[in-house]
This record gives sequence, structure tokens and C-alpha cells, in this order.
Amino acid sequence: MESFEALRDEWLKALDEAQTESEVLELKGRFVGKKRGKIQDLLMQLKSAPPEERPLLGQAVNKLKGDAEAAIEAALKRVRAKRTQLEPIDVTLPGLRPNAGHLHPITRVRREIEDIFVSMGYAVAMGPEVEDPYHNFEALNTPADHPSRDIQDTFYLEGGLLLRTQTSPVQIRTMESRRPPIKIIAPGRVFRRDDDVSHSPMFFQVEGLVVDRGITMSDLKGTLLQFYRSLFQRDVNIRFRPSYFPFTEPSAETDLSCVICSGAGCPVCKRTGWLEVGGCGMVDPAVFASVGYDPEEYSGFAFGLGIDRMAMLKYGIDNIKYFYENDLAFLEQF
Amino acid sequence: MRFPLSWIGQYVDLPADEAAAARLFTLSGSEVEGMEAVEGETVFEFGITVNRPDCMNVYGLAREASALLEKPLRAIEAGCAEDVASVSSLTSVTVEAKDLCPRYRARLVTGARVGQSPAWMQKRLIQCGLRPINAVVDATNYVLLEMGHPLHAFDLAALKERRIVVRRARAGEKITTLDGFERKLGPEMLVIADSEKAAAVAGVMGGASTGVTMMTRDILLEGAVFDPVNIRRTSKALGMHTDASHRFERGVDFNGPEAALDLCARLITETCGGKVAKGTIDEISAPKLPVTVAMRLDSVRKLIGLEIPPEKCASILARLGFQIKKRGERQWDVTVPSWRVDISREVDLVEEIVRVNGLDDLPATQPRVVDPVGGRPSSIRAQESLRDSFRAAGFTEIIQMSFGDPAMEKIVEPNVEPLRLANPMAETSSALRTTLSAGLLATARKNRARGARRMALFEVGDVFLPATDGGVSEEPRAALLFFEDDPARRWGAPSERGLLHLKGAIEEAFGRFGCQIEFVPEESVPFAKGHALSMLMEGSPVGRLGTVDPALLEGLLLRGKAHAAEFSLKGMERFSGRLQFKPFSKFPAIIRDFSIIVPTGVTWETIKRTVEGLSLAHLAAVELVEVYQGAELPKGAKSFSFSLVFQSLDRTLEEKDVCDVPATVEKALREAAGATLRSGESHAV
Repeated sequence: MESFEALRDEWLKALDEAQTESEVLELKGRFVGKKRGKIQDLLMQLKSAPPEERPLLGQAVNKLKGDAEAAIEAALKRVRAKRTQLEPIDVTLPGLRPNAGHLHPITRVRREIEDIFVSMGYAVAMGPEVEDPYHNFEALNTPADHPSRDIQDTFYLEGGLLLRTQTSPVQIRTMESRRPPIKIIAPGRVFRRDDDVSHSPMFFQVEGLVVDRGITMSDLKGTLLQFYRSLFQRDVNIRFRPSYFPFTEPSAETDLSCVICSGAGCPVCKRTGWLEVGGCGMVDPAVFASVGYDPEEYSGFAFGLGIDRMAMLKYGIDNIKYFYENDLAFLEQF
Repeated sequence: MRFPLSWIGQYVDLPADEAAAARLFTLSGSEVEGMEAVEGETVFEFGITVNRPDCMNVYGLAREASALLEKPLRAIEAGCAEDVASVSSLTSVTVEAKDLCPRYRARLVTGARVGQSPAWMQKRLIQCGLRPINAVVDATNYVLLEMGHPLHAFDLAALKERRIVVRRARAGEKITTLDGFERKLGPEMLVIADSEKAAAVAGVMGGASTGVTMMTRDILLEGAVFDPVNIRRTSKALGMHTDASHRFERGVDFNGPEAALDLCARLITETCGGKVAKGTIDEISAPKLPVTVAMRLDSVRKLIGLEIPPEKCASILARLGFQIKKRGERQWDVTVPSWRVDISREVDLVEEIVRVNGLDDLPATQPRVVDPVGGRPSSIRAQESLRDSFRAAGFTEIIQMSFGDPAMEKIVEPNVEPLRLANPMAETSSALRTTLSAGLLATARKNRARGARRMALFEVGDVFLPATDGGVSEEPRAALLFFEDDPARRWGAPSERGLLHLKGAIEEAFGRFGCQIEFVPEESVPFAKGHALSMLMEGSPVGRLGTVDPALLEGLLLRGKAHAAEFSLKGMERFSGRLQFKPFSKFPAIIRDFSIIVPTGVTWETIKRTVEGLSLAHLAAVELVEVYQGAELPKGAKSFSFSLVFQSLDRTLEEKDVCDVPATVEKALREAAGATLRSGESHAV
């Protein structure tokens, strides 16, 4: 009987120390296994006990086995519970953010603009930033020695090339390369020799050009209206105001009902309710002449708008300089 | 350009509401940019576009209002009473440079007593932003403001031989202009001279010695037409932009001198007394005939998509001074008034009609056409994909000016001479960029100065390289930069990122195209020795990356660690659609793990190439587990732990498929790299 107690102590201690299910199962085998289990061994030893002691001993061994099995079950339950139990955590700690970067707000707005026009059936066209005077001016009906050149103060390279002052040369390059129908936008960097509170010597423009048979100025108005409504996701209005650009006739400035105050008047729209957002007009016959299109057969419209300006209006940015200072405090907001 | 509303209102009835008047002008193209009270009356600031010199005066704006409001335009009373003495007996005009001066008309006022101009005239000049000078100069300015034609008044007695010669300046000729500056004249500049010397820079400014003063008695009034391009060149060359040159270079009314001189002569005699000599001198070398434009009424609807009734079109054109002769029901011959120098084509007339009718009435329709090319070009899509990859990898996009500091360019790209701007705004922004990295470093420096100690930046944009033909080669590029300078510990901050993170970000980004970049160790500026790689794409070098030489960083006053990469995106479009699915195995892999000890100089590349070179059957991947160098190893040694993954597409591999591997690999690495096996074990997965 003393050995019974020693055996009980042994399994109790072992089970108590066991941490994993496999350890407990191993102990199960060791103590109550059908083969070579220690209790099984005791039962085998019963055969050598005197016959009169056998029933009592048998009872005692069976009880011992029952106790062992119960203890093993309890230990199994304990280790299994532990396996599916989680460590405590302070769930009020700040979230661990993925260390993703940021796209420049100009990129974000440029993509939005491109997406809208691509969905309207446009192709995105690109052209060089260093241009020749012919594509930047002459082909766009802006001859040398004409006052219309003063509108855009130009950066020149030594040797006569220039930094394009507008994305309009892409119009010319596209029309030189293929025949109508043409329906393109040309986003990109443009440069003007101008640096003050509201001007940056470099900024981003999108030029649009549609040429086909029967294109009208009403189509231009409908296009811009749909575009601005889509960009600002609001029921904005536009107004055309006659203006002058050498490469369009008739020409207009597009005014957008103020997206800040909805036309009620605020500092952004200088209390007029309108924001000047870009020039537009019908392609001047002189431009068609420079690319060999017959203005009797084709008509077209062109428009331009500033990506910087759109980004400023969309995000409420009040200084164009922020875009090119690349201060992380600015960039990381987008 | 400023005009009091009351002056314009003298010739047409304007709306009583000033805001309504402002809107009227603005929506017809003569934008009212501002409004203020001067001398007790409202003055409008107009922004007149360069094509409309005819609107740069009171009467021209009144004409616009008359058409817009459909109200009558009152005529200017311009006539003057003449004396018996004829102008040709008192002076003469010789136009030598006929090509630059198609018309020179002159009137003479004799015996005047020049004093101050009347108060009402001074008030209007002041309202328009001009300073009253004397009765004669003020009268010429008044007529300019009212009728738009620039006039000039000479003191006849100051002109040698009391006569005018219109000619090109002589070599080395000089003149002191009214503003007191001596001007050196060029041979293509037109001057108004007397028999000896220049008395005025034609169309720009008069000379100081021949101007009208309080002592002047006899006045020669000039009303001329000059070649716009010549005036513009002279004005630019001399750096003199005047009210006169502003109008001459845009084009003046050929008939303008007639009424303008008459009015001016009358205004002078009303104030100064004196007599107007009989007649005018009028030298016309190139008469200007009225322009007639054939116009089809259908062109209006065709171009703008809105039908405007013919009678409305006719009324608009008539009020603007056009004359219409009907050639058919819908075909007109339209004669353009002489003051409309901007109109010569049918489309110009269409613009006049829609402009006055109101651009705001246009319906909003959509063109049905779709571009046959459509969408974004592959090259742009590739660039956008890289932007997305870099952003996801933790880099923040910057956009820099395309021109920068040539000194900074040279530090990063010493072998390329940057192209220079001929007229930069500053020396530090005078070079077209030849590298994006210089700007990235400058941006890092700026942000470091503002307290940022950890940055991951990138830019995608063009650089400008001198081309062999003397032109410019524009190349799209991407550049990345890691910068760290002992950043403060922060919750969730990433661990320090180095050159290999940069390499990994690039591999990942290009992997999205199914495009593999090969990296080859190669020294280059501005990287530290042994910390630089070249990037090859399909065998051609496209860029480089490395750890920026710390000494160079210090030279830039930037302390810390910087790792940079820059590569060309030229031809990236060829990878569009390159990514292809590869069949993958559904059977378990057998993995053999190795740990080898090699001399420290042995590169991973050597190990990997050696193993791959064995062409082991079923080898699917060689995966690096760990590189170790430390106390447990002998000096001058390091260890690589790596796994070889064996997998078959069509069956489960068995031990016998790979039983020879450990011995083969060990032998090969021993021979190729002096490697000894630290341990080798295998397990199945």
C-alpha cells in the first residue's frame, strides 16, 4: 500500500509539472497505459498475490487507476485551456500603423483629373518640358514680337530652346502626329518666370483638346461642366467670360462657382462667388493651318487648367509654394 | 487701365447700378478688375486683353456698352476752328522710313500761351492715374484716354529748321528723353527728328529738348501710325513701356489721327488761346483700305452650337461699327471698322457675335467622339505603378523644381555638364537638373533643419541631359533616398533602414512588371567605397544605388546616414503586360538547410551562383536565412545559413531524390569559396 501512495505522489507531481498536452499524454501512457503502464504492472502483479488478498487488492488498484485517470483528465483540461488562452494586452495602446509613405498632392489630384477625362473617352498625351519656340509659340498663333508673348514670361536656354510655358505645345505635337478624331488631355510641368506670393516659377497644368467634325463651343461648356462636377463631387456651375488667347477663337475664361462658399462670397473668391479656373476656346483656324488640318472640315476646342489650383481648392491649401518646398509636415498630410 | 464711369457715361447711358455696369463689361471681355472712388467718382480698373487696343479708351468702352445694352452711342464733337495761315507754309514733314511709318499727320497751333489745363481735365487725368503737367501735354493725354490715339506735341521753335523728319536713328545717335535719361539709339529704331537730330523716340517717348513748356508758343501736334513690331522692339530694347508704346505695339486705328488731332487742337486753343493753322500735313506711305470679310451665318451655329437670329447678329455687328452688305440670305460681306485691328476672318466675327450675345447662354452638350488611342500610355502607367510601389514601401513623394543649383548637381553628377538657363531667376536655380538625387539630398537637408531625423523620399520626373546633336535629351527617372540621423524612439517606428532595404524596394517595385533587375557591385560617385551597386535591366545599365559617402554628406552640412538610388525609366513601357503566371507545385517541398563558414570576403552572390550552377534536380529556390559574423566564429570568417528548396510539379519528392545534395553542395562550396560545413540538417515540409 505504501507503494500505492508513492505512485500517487509521483503522478501528481509529474502532472503538476506537465505544461503541454503531449507531456500529459506521455504521462498517461506511463501510468495508465495498457502496455507497460505502471498501474497495469500492478494489476499483473496481483496474479502473484495470495488468492484471499486478491479481491481487496484488486479493488484498491482499480481505485488507484480511476484516480489516476481523473487526475490525467484534469491535467489535460488544464493544459488545453492554457493553449487557447491569450496573454493580457492593453488594448488602449496606440495602433501600430503600417509605415506607408505618401503621394504628393499634385500626383493625387493629377490622377483624379486624368481618371475623369479617361472615363470620358480621352487619351493622355505627353510632350517634352524643354520645347522649341515653334511648338510653344509660333504654331500656337503666337508670333515673335507680338504682345501676346508678354502674357507668359519665358525661361530660355542658352541656344534658343525654352522651358514650355504651357502644355499647349502637346496639342501641336499630337495633331502633327495623327488625324482627327482627337480627344486628349496633356498634363505636365510648365514654367513661367514669375515668383511671388501667388506664383511659382514651375507649376502643373492640364491641357485638353478635342478635334473632330462638328465640335462646338457648347460641347466645350458641357465637357467642362461635367468635369468640374465630377472633380469636386458637387453641383457646381461654370460661367464663360470672353477673353483672349492666341490659339483659340472665340476664347473664354472659365469661372467656377466658388467651391468654398457655393457662390455666397468669401475671401477665396474675393467675394465674387466665382473662381477663375482656366482659359478655353475653339481652336483658332491659324492653329489648324500650322498642322495642316482643314478648318472647313474640322472644328475643335481646347482648354487649360492648373492642377495646383485644383489641389489648392480641393484640400483648402492657401499657398502654392507648399507644393514645391517638400516639407514633410505638408507632404505627410496626404 | 483706369477710367471713371462718368466719362464713359458721357457717350452712352450706363446702368445706374455700378455693380451691374461692372458685370456688363466683365462678361463681354473687358474685365473690371477693381473699383474705387477717386475725386468723388467711381473709377473702374479694366483688364483689357492684348487683342483689344480699341477698348483701351473711354470711347471704345462706351461703344462696347452701346452694343451690350443696345443703346445709342453719342458722337464725340471733335471739330476745330482753323486760321487762314496754312500749315504747309509754316512747317514740313518728310517721312524717310516709310516702311516703319505708314502715316504721319500733323497739325499746328500758333501763338499759344501754355498754362495749366482746366480743373475738369486735370480731374479726369488724375482719375485715370496720370499726373497733370501743362495744358498742352494734358490735352494730348486727355485725347489719348478718350479716343485711344497717342499724340505728341513738339515745341516747333525747338525743332531745327522748324520741320520734321521721320527716319531711322543714325549710328551712335543719342537722345535725352522726357524722363531725363539719355538713351543710346540703335540703327533699327525709328526717330522723329528735325533737320539735324532726334527729337523723339517714335511711338515711345518724346525728347526733353523739344517738349512743350510754359515758354512754348507754336506747337506741332503729331498723330501718327507706326509699325507695331518696330515699336515693340524699340520699347523692349530701351526698357521703356509707355502709354503710347502700349497702344502702338498692339495696333492703332489708321484713321485715328484725324479726329484726335482736331480735338486736341481745339482743347489747346480753348485753354491757351492761339490759332490752329489751316489744314493738316498728312504723309501716307501705305494707305490702309477697309477690310471686308465674307461671313456665312451658318458658321455661328456650326462653331458654337447655338442659333442666334440673323437680325440679332446684324444689330450686334452694326453697333460695334461693322457695315453689312447682304450677298445672299445667309451670306454677308462685313466691312470691319478701322479701329478693329484684331478682326480679319469669319471666325473673328463669330466671336464678336457670341461675345456680345452672351457666352453664358450656350447650352451644355457633350462631344460624342471617343479618342481612338484612349487612356494612359504604357510609359505613364509604368511610372504610376512605381509611384504606388514606392509609396507602399514607405517612401514619400516629393516634387522639385526642374532646375537647381549647378554646384549641387556637380556634387552628385560630376561627369555631366548641366544645361544652363539663359535667364534664370537666381544662380541657385540656373541649371536644368541632370539628376534627381541632388534635389533629394537638398530636400533631406531642409527637412533635417526643420527637425526631421528619419526620411524615406522619392521622386519620379525628368532630367535633362545634353544631347550629342547639341539639343536636350529628356529622360524620365526615379530616385529614392533613405536618410536617418539617430531618430528618437517612437511607438511603431520602423527599425533602421539601409542599403539592402533600398535594394529590396526596387526589386519589389520592378517585380510588379515581371521585370528583374540585376545588381552588380560597382563604385561610383557619390557613394562610399564598397557600398555601391549598378542596376542592370536586360543587361543594360539603367541606374545605381548605394550608401552616400559620409564625407560628402558632411560637406553638404548633413550629418547622418543616407542611402540613395537613381535609375532611368526610359523604355519602361516595354515591360507592360510582361508579368505572366507561372505554374506552381501542389506537392510538398523538401528543404535542406545549410550553415557554412567562409572567409569574410566571400559574397552571397558567389554562394548562390555556385549552388545554382550545380543544376541540382528539382531545386526550386535558394533562400538565405541568416548571415552571421561574431565571437563564435574564427577571426576573418563569417557564416551563411541558407535553405535549398526542392519541389516537383508532378509528384511528391522522396528522400532518395535529394540524398546526394549535402555532399555535392559541400564539395562545390569548398572548392569555390573555401567553405566549411558548420551544420547540415534537413527536414520535410
